Order: sequence, then C-alpha cells, then structure tokens
Amino acid sequence: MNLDRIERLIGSDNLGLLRRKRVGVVGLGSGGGFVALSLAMSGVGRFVLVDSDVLDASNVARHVADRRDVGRPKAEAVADLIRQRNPEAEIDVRVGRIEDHRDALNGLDLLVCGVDGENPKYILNQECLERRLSAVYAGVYERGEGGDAVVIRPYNGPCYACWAGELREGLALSAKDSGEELDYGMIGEEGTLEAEPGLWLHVARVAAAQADLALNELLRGTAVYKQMPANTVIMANSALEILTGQITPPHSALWVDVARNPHCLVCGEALRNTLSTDAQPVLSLDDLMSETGLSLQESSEDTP
Amino acid sequence: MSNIPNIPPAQDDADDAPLMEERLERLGGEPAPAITPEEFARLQQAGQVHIDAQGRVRTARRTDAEAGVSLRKRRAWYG
Repeated sequence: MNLDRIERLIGSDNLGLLRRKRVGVVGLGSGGGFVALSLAMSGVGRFVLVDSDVLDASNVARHVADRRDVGRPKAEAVADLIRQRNPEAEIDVRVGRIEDHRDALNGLDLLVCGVDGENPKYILNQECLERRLSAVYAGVYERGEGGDAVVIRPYNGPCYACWAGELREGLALSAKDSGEELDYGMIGEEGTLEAEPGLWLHVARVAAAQADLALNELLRGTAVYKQMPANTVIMANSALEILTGQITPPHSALWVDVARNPHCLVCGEALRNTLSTDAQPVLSLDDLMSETGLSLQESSEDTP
Repeated sequence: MSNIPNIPPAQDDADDAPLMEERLERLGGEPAPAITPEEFARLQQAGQVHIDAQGRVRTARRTDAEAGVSLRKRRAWYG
C-alpha cells in the first residue's frame, strides 16, 4: 500500500511505528469493521480480529463488507478488506467469542472494542486491566441519534465499569420471554438493543471518532500525538440531550472527563490493595461494605 | 438629495425580551456564564464549575453526589 501521503503527514518514523503496532479489534460489526479498515488505511500493520458472527444479508446496509461476503465470518471478510489495501498486513483472524480467545489479547499495543452489548465489554475490561492494556470503546445510541467514544487506560482514569456507571443506563431484562412483540429499543440479554434502527453514516461518524482516538493513542509519546480535551467524546448526530436539560445541536460534540470511581468493584482501590498482596487475598464483608458503600438487606425469605 | 444622516434604527429592547425570557427559563433562572467554552471546559476540568441535574451552572460542588457534569445515561449498540 502506498502510504506516501500519510508519511508526509506524520513522518516516516511514526509511520514505521504504526506498521509495527499490533491492534486487537474485538467485534467486527458495523463499527469495529469500519475501525479496523480505517486503521489499516492509516498505516497500522498488525491486527488481531475477533468475532463469532457471519455476515448476514441484513448486515450489508451497515457494514464495510458487502454481498460477496454474505455467509462468511465477519472477521475473515474484514481481514480480506484489509489485505486488499495492504497485502503486507499481518492479521490473526479468530472466529469465535472473546471468552474462547482471551489469548488473542496477549501482546497487543491497543484494543479496539467493537462488540455489541455490555457483558462482553465488561469481560474485555477485566482482561485489559490484567494486562495493563489500553482500549478504545464506542457505542451508538438508539436510532443513531448520537454516540460516544472513550479511551480507557488501566488504573489511569476510569475503567470501563467506572465509565459505564456514569454514561450507560442500567441494563433491562429482555422482553423476548414475555411474549411481547419485538420492538426497536428493546434490550437483549447482553444489554444491547435487540433491533436497532440507525443509518450506516451515523455509525460511521462514531466509528471514525473511535478510529481517530485509537490512532492517536498508538502515536502516544511521539510529536504528532494530540492531547485530547478529555477522555470521552459524545457526539450528536441529530439534536441530542447530552447534558441533562441542554440540547446539543446536530453534527456537534461534547468532551467530558469521566473520573475513576475509587469504590469501583472492578478497579477500585480496596480490590487492588487486596489483590496486590502476596498473601492469599482476604476481604471481609465489613471491609467490602466499608470500601464500596454497599449495604446488606435482610431477605424476606429468611424470615420465618 | 437628503441631508439626513444614515442612522441605523434604534435597537428595540422589547423585541429581545421574549428571547431572553426563554433563555432564562431554559437556564433555570440563571444567566449563562460570560466565559468562552474553552474557559468553561478548563474550569469544569478543574472542578470549579459544574452543571447540575437541572442543567444549571454551579460554581462550587456542594456534595460529591452532585459533582461533575450531569450526563444523560443511555443504552448503546454497535453491531
């Protein structure tokens, strides 16, 4: 791939750096596929692509792959698209769920989270914390009205659990089992929307921001690295109430800094301090309640 | 040719009144801070100002529970 124009922008040394960087993209749907291809087109040379799905005909309106790839695993389809741009790219394709390919995260320089659903994000969060691996997460809001992207650096700011506690609405149970007709906006078992309407161009805006943040993170420590205003960008595709009571105009965005929660049950100080000791970690119930502010409620079932 | 100087019409303050009323209503009765967005962001990062649950600009944190920006929580997808 001829990258002369990118070399003129960031310099040959930095382009060489990107060629050596190894980026994991977990989830190769509308967002993750766009990010993976965009990073390849920006000079990144090594990828680990993880996804369990095959491309369905209904995905084609919102995916970088097209009808020729229907029925193929999305990870393989995106890998081929990358090779079409950069035949020299090193790509490790993993068809399956991240739970079965945790080793794919070893040796990465950065993780791009493209999964749909909150549960897999929490799994990735845990894996990233253990590896001290930075990650860029993104999500698109209902009907594609907007979306957000965030850079998570382990123990340097919020983990995904801290962050989601500030921006994600609580997970609701699936309405599938209740016999109700599936409607846009329903929440599935993994916390994703069951049948989300939204245009490719609205996903692409969010994914472009995620890719740009990822590229910038890969260039951290170089002269072309740009200090971002905060760790999270929230984009309005249409008029959107980002801050309560304030409408953000279409095609604009707000930057917000979401702070680490010191009482976070995933990355909080109590858990870290306990786990960092050489001895077998012991955390009493009283300690846990004291550190997290949680309290116990008596169960009515225990009452005779 | 007229000797009357070309004076722009006087600003009719009454025309702006509904707009100002609407603005104050939207801001919960408080005028917007007369600072640039950049300066506001800097103060916000420094913890010197924040926006409360009603969308009002506050200049000091009252409690930890109210600290920071009041963001709308949302569900998100990415499939």
